[in-house]
Amino acid sequence: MSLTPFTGTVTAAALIANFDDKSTTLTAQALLGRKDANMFHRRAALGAADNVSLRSVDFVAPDDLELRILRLTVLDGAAGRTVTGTLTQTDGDTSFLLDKTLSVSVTTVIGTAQASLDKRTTSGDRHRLLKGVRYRLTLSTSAGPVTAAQITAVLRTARRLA
Amino acid sequence: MSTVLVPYTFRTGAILDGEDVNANLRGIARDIKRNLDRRYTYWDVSIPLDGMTNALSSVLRSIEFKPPADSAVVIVGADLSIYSASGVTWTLTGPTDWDGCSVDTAGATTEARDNCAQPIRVEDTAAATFLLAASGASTITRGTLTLSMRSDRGSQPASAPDFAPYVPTPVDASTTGLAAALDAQLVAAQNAVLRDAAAAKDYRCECILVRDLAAAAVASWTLPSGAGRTAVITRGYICATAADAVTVAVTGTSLLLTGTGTSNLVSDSGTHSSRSDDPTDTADDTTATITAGGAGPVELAYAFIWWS
Repeated sequence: MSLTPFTGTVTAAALIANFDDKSTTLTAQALLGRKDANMFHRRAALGAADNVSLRSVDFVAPDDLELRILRLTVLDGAAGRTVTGTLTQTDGDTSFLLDKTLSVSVTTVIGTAQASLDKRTTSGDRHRLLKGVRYRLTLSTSAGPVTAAQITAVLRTARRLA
Repeated sequence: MSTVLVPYTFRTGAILDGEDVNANLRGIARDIKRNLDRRYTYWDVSIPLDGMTNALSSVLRSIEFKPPADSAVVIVGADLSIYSASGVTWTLTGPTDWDGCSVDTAGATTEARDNCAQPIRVEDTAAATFLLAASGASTITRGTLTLSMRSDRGSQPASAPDFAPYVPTPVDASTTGLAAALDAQLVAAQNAVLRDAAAAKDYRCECILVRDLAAAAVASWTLPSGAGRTAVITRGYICATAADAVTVAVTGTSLLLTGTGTSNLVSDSGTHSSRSDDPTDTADDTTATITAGGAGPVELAYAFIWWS
């Protein structure tokens, strides 16, 4: 940010430069609080028959939050298993997710594998988790136990008036 | 090309209308106030309770929550969710006069849930401790304590610039020394813009927690950081048999915490460099690990990773 003093003469260029500089800076600063935060669930020894309560976490959206990325990271000692992470409404309804299924799958390798559902593109569906609605992140596997799996919803937060 | 948001522009050779200048000053003042009014950030932190039993020491059944230095957050709600064999009441208590939560367990695969919407302000100078207690023998098969919190960037320490807007003094035909008067106004406006920039602490946090971590075992979490995380601070905690220890590491910066007995909570905090990465791949991921040291399992280790 810069300030061009008038030094005794008020010129159009200096007026424009000063006002332009302040308003541009303020526009940029208005976006500063918009950052991505993580809601995640990690399960060690994820089994194919695990009850859903053991392999999920529920949360009530604390604000209107844009879903940016659904990320699945898996650490395993065997290859070829299919691990899936999903984001749903806890009550089973789909109305607050545009009736879409949000999921990401990965095939395990010996070591770490990861996959992402990227919702940041300018085209396609955009999903906003609504304040006060209870959502669920769930892990599942075709075979287990998977050493460790983590499903992460990367959510955009922003500053609010109240 | 920069974006101009004030209503009037000026041309060399044209008559300078003081009202145009005043309108632009008011426009700047409005935009400063617009920015300052957006001061709250809401976020949830989920704290796993899996494996907690009624027989554990009170320290092993509690969670300490404390924001970074020179900050405060308001916990606007707490949600307690427990899956455990039926017939027991688990109670969550916190700071003095806080209503807390109480759930009657309904089965290892059936949720029992309660929430509390009473707000609590938690300052960096005095942590809030949340304690769970059961009415009888019980093991939590799966449980989560979710704290909904609000960070207020207008809550500044005494040493910080005032969180104050710009109030313009209009110019008119009676203004003498127009250049100096406008200089003063623009300096005042710039100072307010700088105050807006300085008040950029919108704190959120994430919790990693592990119980009964075997000797030499490592629990790890991948935390995609997205862009521009600043003021990253880790507050780590351990409650373990004396001489057992954990190393809490967040992408290379680590805390070594050594237990002093299962009735004692040991804590420490450390800062980290700012984080930015593309969360769709593993390059530059923020990773958090808790690694056990010592001879025996570490009964409880957890950390809150705070950032703005």
